[in-house]
Amino acid sequence: VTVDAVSDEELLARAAREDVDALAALYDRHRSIAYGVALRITGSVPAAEDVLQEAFLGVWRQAGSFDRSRGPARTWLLAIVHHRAVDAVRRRRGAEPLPELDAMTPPSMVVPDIWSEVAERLDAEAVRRALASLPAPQREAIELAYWGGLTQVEIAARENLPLGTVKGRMRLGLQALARALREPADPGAGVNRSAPDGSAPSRQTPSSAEGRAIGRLQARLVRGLGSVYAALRLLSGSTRSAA
Amino acid sequence: MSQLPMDCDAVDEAAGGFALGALEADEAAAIRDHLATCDRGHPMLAELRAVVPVLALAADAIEPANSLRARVLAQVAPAEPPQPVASRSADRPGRRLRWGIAVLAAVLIVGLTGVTTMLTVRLRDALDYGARATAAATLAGEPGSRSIQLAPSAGGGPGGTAVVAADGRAIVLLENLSPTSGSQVYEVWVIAAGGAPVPAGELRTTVDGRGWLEVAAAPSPGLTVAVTLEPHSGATTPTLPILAAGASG
Repeated sequence: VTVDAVSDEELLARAAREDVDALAALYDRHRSIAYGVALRITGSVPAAEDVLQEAFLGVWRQAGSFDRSRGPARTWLLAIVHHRAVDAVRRRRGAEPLPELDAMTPPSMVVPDIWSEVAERLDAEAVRRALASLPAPQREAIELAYWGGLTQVEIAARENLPLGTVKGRMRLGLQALARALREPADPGAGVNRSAPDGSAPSRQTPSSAEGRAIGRLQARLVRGLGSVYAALRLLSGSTRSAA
Repeated sequence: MSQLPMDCDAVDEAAGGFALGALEADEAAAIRDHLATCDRGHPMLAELRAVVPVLALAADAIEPANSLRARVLAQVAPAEPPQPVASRSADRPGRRLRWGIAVLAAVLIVGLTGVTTMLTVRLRDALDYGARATAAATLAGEPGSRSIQLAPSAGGGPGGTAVVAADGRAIVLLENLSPTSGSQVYEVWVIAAGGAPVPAGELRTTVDGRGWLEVAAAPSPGLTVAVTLEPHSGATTPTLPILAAGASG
């Protein structure tokens, strides 16, 4: 009943204070999706394992720079895994390295608030549905870049397409994806409306918000217990040294 | 290929590739340069950048090898393999204390036995002494207990510790004792403030020069603990010299 209700964000804050147990809890919570991402990109078990190892070291070191306003901890963590994995396959191909994550979202970029909430309520099924709703050429351009780690230039050469076409497909595809993910209950987003559980995301929002509130409360309780323990330890220390 | 500065339209056109990290390095750098000075904010680019990390959620969840967890965690805490948070957060202080005592006991027992002392008598002695040392550590952790250092009166002489609990239970531990001969015994004396020395009991000794005594009711406060070597057991006054002594505040 304790750690399960603690939010990812709180675990990340604890990891930033060098709490190894918090990192372990994040690993336990996200290892299978993280490994799925790494394996899909690298296509090799040893490489995917190396990626996870490096990525969680990255999570540990960068936990303090996590910014909640830019999205939930889960997608932040998976972005690190994705980045390491693409970096690994690009190095293997001798292609140019991926820009650092910070450079991909420069401070001058103001991410719309809505994306924190959207990213929080999404699950695998919702993202797969949204991807499936894209025209195939746009979806393929996105997937070759995201899962294949290919650059626009590489995709254009491989698919024998003009660079401008690939560029356009990526932009239009991501725009359509953003619309589909942002407005799941919007009658304009046909694919979501027709889905059997199209109303699920709006049902999930309050319950996950509740979960977060409970998580924060329990985190506060745990911290309270921690201070009581610290006080006890201090007291017993002083009685012993006074003797 | 050198990249010319980009205008707003060119930035928006390349937004998808930028968000996906699929641009050539110089093109991506030109976009960053543009964003650093442009006051239009490029909300479309920001939104595409926000949507990209969400793509990871479409991956299949695949269970990694169990051994990977240890590998991942070893690199952030090489000396201490962490335990699952869930199992210990409920009663952290109690577990910590018990764990601490267990480690202390293990260290003491290992330290006392050494690597070559497999003779059963030494092992039993050491375990006996280790058990008292563990009990002393537990006692010392109780509220109101005091530890008294028993300083040797002469260099190289025996020394040790007495732990006295609030209710008068006490454990005396001595090291570096010379072997006794004949009917000799090491006697522990307790002296209340302003009082005469009272015999508390004989030390149980090990062949490697350690000794201990458990006392049911030691006086307090202002307690002094002293150790002497007596020619026979049953002494009612200490035979000088005092080998080791210490007083509590």
